[in-house]
Amino acid sequence: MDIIEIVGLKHRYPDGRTSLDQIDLTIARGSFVVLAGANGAGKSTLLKHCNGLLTPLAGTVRVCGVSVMQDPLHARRTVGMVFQDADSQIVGETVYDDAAFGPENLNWPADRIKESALRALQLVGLATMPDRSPHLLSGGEKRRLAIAGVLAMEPEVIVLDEPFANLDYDGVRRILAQLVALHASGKTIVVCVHDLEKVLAHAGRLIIMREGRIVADGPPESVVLEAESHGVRIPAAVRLGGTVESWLR
Amino acid sequence: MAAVAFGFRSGRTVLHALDARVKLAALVFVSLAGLYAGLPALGLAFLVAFCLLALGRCSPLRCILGMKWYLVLLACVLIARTLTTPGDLIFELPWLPATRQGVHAGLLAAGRLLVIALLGLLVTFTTRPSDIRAAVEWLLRPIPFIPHRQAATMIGLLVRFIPVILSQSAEQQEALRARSIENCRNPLRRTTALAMPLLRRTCVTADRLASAMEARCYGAERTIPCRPVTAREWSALVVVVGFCALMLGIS
Repeated sequence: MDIIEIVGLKHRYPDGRTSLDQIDLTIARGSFVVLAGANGAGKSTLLKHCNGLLTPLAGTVRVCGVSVMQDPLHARRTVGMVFQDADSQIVGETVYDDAAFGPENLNWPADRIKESALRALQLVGLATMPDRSPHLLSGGEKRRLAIAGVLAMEPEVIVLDEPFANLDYDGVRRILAQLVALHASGKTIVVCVHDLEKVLAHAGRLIIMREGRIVADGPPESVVLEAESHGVRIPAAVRLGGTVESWLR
Repeated sequence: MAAVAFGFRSGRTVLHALDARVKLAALVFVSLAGLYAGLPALGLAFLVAFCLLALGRCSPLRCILGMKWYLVLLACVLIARTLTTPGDLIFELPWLPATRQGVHAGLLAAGRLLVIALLGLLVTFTTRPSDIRAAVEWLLRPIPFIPHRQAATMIGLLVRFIPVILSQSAEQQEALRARSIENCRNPLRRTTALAMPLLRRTCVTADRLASAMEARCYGAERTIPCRPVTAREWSALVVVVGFCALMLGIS
């Protein structure tokens, strides 16, 4: 059962450069997908189409069978997007306010908003600081708050753009543990990275993009070997002939 | 002052529990009463503001320290009014035209501004920013031609992003110092070197923010986190109106 279906997707930047070229892709419900590629490969642009933030030049994107163009609100409710720069994603004046921002926009009743925001903060381990200003949080806490802001909207799919960027070892492990737990709870996870080392052990599928096209797609163990020819570094363990170990061990 | 003024501190005091709409209404009423109040009434309002700050678990001394540059501004207002208002001279010195009426007018102007600032601090200190935003939205709703939801969101975003822009500015200044900006004597070049990247960065942040808000379904129809007005709120409002009447009565 596919939750996201992309057919013949094309997109161009405002300056005329092609950012996505003939993308055909389906993502199964409940899967854990890693989308890798060098900078400028089109990963973030592809994710924004799943959320209805960009309009395709050609092709269609469907979420749960509904066209994103026709009902972008449905796409945004179903696909929660965590951006790379947590600082500009956090809009609330306090940690709680930010978690409640999405549910408020969905026009939920006040009780449901509170329950959902507090549960999301609990899930990411920020329930003890609801009144803290987001500006005073550490980088890892900000990233977790950005995830909480999306979780509070109870989406089925969570797409994350470079969730490990600028995080220390502990920060990476916390975010990774969060993603693994969310996947175990039935969510579909799509993680966009340029460094496979941290997340590949948990993925069921690896997609590699290059210059706006999907150049490799399949189980990580078979696709990872050709990653380096597309500008993505192979994990050290694979290079030495072993398998990628989880950072959570 | 920024650290104190924009700092909500959670607490369990009566002032924290009071609805934001009542607190904002009280701020408006006392400010208006202050326009017609004399020095004794302003002195009383000042004392009440101090007591309320203590009641809200906000150290009045810390507030005064946080407001030191604002107090300098008030001192300037006092001096300017003292020297420019015509009336009876206090000193027989031609180069110091201070008048009794000037001192009175200066104290009145500075006193009004001080009382408003202290009460404003009290409101921000004891009220969650989201409650202030919701209260502004609620209070603006009856006014025609004002997009109350957008106005309230703008206020919320302003409060949220002032520290971010200040932090970006500090980072930019450090980066410029690391590249020896001090050696540049031209103030215009120094200002441009700071302002242009900061402006560009702020615009990029604003763009990303707009995308992030869109991704989280931001739109016209939102749930406003407003509580129903209870007897406590009405009682507080009656006390505020009574206090304003007292201020006007003793003026």
